[in-house]
Amino acid sequence: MELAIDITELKFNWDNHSSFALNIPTWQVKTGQKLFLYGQSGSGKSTLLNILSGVISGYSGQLKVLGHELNLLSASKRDQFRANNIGMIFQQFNLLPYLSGIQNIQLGSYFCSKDKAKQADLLTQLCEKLQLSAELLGQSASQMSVGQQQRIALVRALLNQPKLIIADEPTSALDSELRDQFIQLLLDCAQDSTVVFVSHDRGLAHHFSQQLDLSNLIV
Amino acid sequence: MMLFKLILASLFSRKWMVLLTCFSIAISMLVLVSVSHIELQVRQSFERSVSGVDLIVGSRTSQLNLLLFSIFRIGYPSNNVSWQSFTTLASDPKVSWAVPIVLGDSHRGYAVVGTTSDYFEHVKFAEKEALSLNKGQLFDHGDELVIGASVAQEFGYQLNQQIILSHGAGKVSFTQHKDHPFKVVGILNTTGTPIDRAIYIPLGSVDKLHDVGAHHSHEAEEHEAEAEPPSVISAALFGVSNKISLLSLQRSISQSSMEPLSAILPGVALRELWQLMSAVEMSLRVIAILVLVASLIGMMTMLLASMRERQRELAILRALGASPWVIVFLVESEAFLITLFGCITGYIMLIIALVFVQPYLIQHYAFVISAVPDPMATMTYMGLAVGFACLLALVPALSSYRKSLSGGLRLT
Repeated sequence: MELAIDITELKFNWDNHSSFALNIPTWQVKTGQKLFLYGQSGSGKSTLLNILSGVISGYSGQLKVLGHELNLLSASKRDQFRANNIGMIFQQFNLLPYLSGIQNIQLGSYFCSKDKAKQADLLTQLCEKLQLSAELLGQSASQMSVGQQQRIALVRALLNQPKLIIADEPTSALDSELRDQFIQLLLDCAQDSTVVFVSHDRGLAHHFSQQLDLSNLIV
Repeated sequence: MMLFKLILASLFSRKWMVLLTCFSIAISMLVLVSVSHIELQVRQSFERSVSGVDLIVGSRTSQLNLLLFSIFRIGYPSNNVSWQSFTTLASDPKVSWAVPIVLGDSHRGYAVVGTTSDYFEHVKFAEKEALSLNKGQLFDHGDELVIGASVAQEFGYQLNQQIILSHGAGKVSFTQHKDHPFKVVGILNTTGTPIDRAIYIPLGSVDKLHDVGAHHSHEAEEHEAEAEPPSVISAALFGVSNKISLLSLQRSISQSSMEPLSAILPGVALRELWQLMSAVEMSLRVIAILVLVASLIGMMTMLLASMRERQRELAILRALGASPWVIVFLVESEAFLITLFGCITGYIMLIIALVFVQPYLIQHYAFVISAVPDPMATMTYMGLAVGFACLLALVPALSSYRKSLSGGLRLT
């Protein structure tokens, strides 16, 4: 089976003065896996996600994401790779507050070089599934509730049909009821993708087929 | 296109701050452009006032003083020139024409110029355009006068109207020449020079005005206007037949043994005036530039203050696959648009202001000003302002760029 993430001897330091260092001897995530990654704040999960998505580089060792050795790509290639292949959802503030919901979604496909015509159909399906009305999509993001914002962010992430979805505590700003609902929607819509879901809330782990404690990963 | 929409939405979300910044840039642009525009227009306006006159002769004084009182009616003659000297100089073969002028009286704030009808023939304005009458004719008798366009307009004077002149130059005079009323016989066309702002009476009538009671008879007034020359004049305007002889004529008049005289070339005197003014212009320009710099720094402050929230926006854009340069592009575009919009607003404000003050300046100062500042000069200033703004905006833009490279995505 192909590997979505393949790490060997990954080492990373923010800078030479910092005591913090990330060190992962080996880690593999198979394609199509839905992985729950448990990690407390300060455990290095943000750093790991930044590296996985190619936002920061300068690590040593081997890291292959979707078969690409990220260190070998130029900065602009890495950005393009991320736009086309990785969907990211953050804890909150996923949207530009002064743009409408639909504009925020369009912004995602603007950077992605995939077929725009196909996306239009997908957008209609996704909005239906996530109960996003045209009225809500026309609203400014700053007027939306956090739940609505997260759903818009989810649509944006899914619209590009990314092979890998990285979700960094996307539910921590939501009520417990919405939380489960959101995760179900995410897993439902992302059946073809690999999902890495990071959270400090172990109570969410039961939604996922695999789980892993970040502290076991990092030496 | 998407990014342009993004920039506009981002600017709109901070509309008050953006508008105020634009406004302050607009005002500084207005000051900067108007300083150079008015400077240019003043020069043109002054230069169009001395046309056709080759030499100005007056009693010995500085060339600026002579120029200012004889042509621009600013200041007063310090001494007079005797009629005797004038006729001697005028008979010089190098002189093609000579027009005497006598100043000292006024009418409701406007200068009264005693002169001969030659004045209207030889004194020109702008590009050697001759004076022309709008209504009526030139004075012929001692109690007739010709008025400039501004005088006619301000007081609504018509032909055949009786006018009382007063002694001295102020608007309020205690000595009115009531016993010697004048009749308006001619109104000049507008020239956009101080010529519009004067009243012209025959040379012979000036002495008569001050000669109250003595030899006062009606027959005397029936005389030809120039029949009785005055004993002294304030200054004289000369034209020469051959420009090459101008300098030698000037020297010979200045060294005249008759009385201490000054002879000046209007162009040279004007250049001295500009040199004197250039210090003032320069300081005005420096102030205007400093005002502009202050408002651009204000804009930079606004951009810096917005960088905190932008850090979050940047994280979103980066996650979507935008290059870190996108933040530099966004900040630079904002600075560019704000400054450009501010500059254009300032330019339009200036044109509107000029359109409003134009008639007032022409009426009260005979100062013709074009309402549209030189587009080339304005473009230069705009270019400099926008360039400097973009340069300043690099500070927040690059610091954010650097942070995003070294720090990754920081959302909170």
